[in-house]
Amino acid sequence: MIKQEIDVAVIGGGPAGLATAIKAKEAGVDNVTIIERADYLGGLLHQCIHNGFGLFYFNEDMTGPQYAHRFIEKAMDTGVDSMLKSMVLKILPNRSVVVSNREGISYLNPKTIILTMGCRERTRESLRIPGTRPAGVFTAGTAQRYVNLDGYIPGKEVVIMGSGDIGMIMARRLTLEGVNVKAVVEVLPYVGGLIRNEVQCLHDFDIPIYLKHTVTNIHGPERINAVSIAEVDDKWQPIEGTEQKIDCDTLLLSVGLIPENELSRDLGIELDPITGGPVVNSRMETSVQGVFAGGNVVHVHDLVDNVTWEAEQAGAFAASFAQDGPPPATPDITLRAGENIRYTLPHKISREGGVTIYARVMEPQIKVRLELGDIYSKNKKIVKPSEMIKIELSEDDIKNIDEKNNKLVLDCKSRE
Amino acid sequence: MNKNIEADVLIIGGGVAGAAIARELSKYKIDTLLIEKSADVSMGISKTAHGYLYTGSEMVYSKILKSRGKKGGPNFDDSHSKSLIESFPIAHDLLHQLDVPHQHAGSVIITKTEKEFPLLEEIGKHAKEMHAFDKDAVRMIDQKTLREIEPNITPDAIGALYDPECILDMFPQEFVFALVDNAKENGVKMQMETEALGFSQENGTQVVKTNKGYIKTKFIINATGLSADSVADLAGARDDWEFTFTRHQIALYDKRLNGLVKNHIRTIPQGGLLNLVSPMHEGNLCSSCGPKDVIKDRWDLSTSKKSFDLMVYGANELVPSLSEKDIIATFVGNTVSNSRDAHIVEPSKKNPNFINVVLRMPGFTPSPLVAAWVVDLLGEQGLKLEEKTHFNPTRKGIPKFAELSNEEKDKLIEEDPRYGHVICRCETVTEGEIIEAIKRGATTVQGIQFRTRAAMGRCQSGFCGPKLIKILSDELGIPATEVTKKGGDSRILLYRSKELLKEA
Repeated sequence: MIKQEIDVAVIGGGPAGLATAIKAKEAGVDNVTIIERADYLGGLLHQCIHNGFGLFYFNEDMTGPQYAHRFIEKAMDTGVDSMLKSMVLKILPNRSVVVSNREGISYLNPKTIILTMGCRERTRESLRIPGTRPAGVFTAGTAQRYVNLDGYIPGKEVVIMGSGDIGMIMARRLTLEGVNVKAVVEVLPYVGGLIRNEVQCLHDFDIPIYLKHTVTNIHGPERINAVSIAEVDDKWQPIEGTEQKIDCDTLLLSVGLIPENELSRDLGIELDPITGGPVVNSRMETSVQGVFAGGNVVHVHDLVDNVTWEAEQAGAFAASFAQDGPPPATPDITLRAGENIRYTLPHKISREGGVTIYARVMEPQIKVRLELGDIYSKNKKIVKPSEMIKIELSEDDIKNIDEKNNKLVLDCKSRE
Repeated sequence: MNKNIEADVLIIGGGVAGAAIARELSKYKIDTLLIEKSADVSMGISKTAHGYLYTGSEMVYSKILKSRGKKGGPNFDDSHSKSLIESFPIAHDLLHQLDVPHQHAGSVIITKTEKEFPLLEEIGKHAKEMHAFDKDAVRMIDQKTLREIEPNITPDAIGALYDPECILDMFPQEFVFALVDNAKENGVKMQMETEALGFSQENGTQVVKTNKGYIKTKFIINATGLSADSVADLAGARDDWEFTFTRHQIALYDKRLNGLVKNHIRTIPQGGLLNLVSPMHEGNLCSSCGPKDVIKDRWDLSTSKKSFDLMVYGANELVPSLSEKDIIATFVGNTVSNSRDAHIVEPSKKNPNFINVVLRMPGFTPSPLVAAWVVDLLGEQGLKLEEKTHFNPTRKGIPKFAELSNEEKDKLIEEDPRYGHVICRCETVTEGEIIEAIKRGATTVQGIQFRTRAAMGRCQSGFCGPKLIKILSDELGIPATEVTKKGGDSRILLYRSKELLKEA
């Protein structure tokens, strides 16, 4: 059994893990090690062969693999260490990280841990879609892996449940492979993902989308042979008499991502039930001192550029912690979600320095004004739950918050 | 693929009955062949059975349950009850011999009304008579004690019958795999995806036509579960018994909820509605609720929204804090009841060398005893029973990496580095275990799943699915497009890249 003392352990080597490790290394930390279960760094970026990555971070339009490689190269250049094909089994209370790989069991003893485990896809089973349990039902991300990395097409008559980004991307991808994508079925009255994808994936390819519909039954004894869909009411309940059957040999599910926080639970980290991820402060530190987090494990992002920036924050502060220990405690300001806001991040803001605030609205709304206490106000034409709101607050902005005020609320108010 | 095979005994059916009989026969110098129509063993009733071993109040409860509505109520003196009592210690012993992980559990039958107290007391009385463990521990408990033992139980429960140790929880398929592994090690041949299509006689030998050729055999054991009546009919060997079928639905909860209840919680079945919440051996809570109606189509394994809702409602009636959000999987099992309401283990009157074996529920507990009965019957019918000198009664299961200590893990990895490579991260299942599962007969994703727990976690094979397909493809030497979920038509990946564009 190998025991290793290191400075920073980064759990997960996807875009968040790469960005955070590079930043920590650039800040001068001696040993930064990424522990990654695949045999390559870059995570899910490798299967995202479509473009749209790096538009903001690099000012370039790249594919997922291209974006990944920029960071993989930089990680190698800056001297980031990595353990590939290695699985973190557990994080012990004393912060020791237990890793398994073909060499055996290792105990890493880091000064700081950064959690960048990403998320998993919501499954058919957790949606409890009635019917049989045949082959041919996939989550969209898994299907994307089969198509883009392994070289297989799951089926040729496909129905997609959910109009999240992954679902729409796969609708286009499969169409380009000769598949008949017969329908995208979305329970909300509007498309779930980015407007860009709605246009470039569905409209441009004439793929029918059934809004306010859901899959009510899966048919087929061994391989799926049809789905039943029905219109839903405002409570998402199927409306009797609206059921129709669509023959298909494949069902893809794009019905949500869930931050993967099993290891966070090991440490007793406080989780936010709305985001599914850790409660964090503006240093991206969790409720356990010296444990930081960034990327999709904290909350589900839509743009990888933001994942990178957020993870860099975590890396910078984790490096400080590793080098100098915890900073002096300061009374933080609590950030709260107000009118039509589903969640805001980080949960606590430091009075020192600036901060980037991320938020999502609950319902789509037009002609709104975003108000953050009395220190920030911005008009927006349209806000959607699928498009994350990003607010940059400078050091001065924060200094303008009254000393006696330890709470800040973000509201999304109608201008009409 | 064999065109013509010969055997002394042909067992048709690879569920718990067939597997137990195979293992029993493997003690003797007999050429035994087991055929199974699915791609793997334990794919019928045994796949979705609760599959516990019962004694005490659990045994009594299951008898009451399965005799619901019968005139005169359950008979605790009949051959079935006697078989449960006699077989329990034999089955328990087998769990140790065959390395089947199990845990001792208790039963709490709750009631919300004093009117049910006499019935609970009656159950308690019979439970003491049929107990393999501590019968004196069986007792009625009041609300206060109930709250202490099970703090998360519904506050509406005013009392319960508590039997602290009457269940051996195990994963039912593991029991079947263990019997099969041991039978094979002791010389029994097994062939999957082989279905009996026709029966004839030739010079005193029975000839079975299958989709993979002909099998000549002296004796046939019909242990085909849901199909036993139709297989018997095909062979002209059905006597006076009929089947009816019932369905139950099971939900599995996220591992986070482990410890929410410690015992098997149930109520007295009312108006056809049956509720159960219990911890499974692996830790996952499961609930089985809803009506166990008689169904028409024994092969219909679909769930419905109505049955989901009933199940969620039923589970909440027992444990209010159970949220449907925590359900990670649900499935349906169909089971069979027969018109004699007893085990049917007898040579057919129409063909004495054709032995029908139909287990009356619960089937796992009596299976080893029934297997011994079958061997006795074969002896009576003229089969020479000479014991093997080198019969190996023990079997070691596939190592469970996730349950080993870190030192044990390290040692295992040193012996075989594939045990260090975690494939299913939700359940921490390694490549070593998966390869071993394939060595022991898994040829499908479910075959791996049920032998190792891979693909059974919260992401439901989202991440490990592609890896399982690759490993199966490599180990079995088949293209990835031929890999199935559960045999038959259940291929997972239908086409290779660009194949559909060529068609255009």
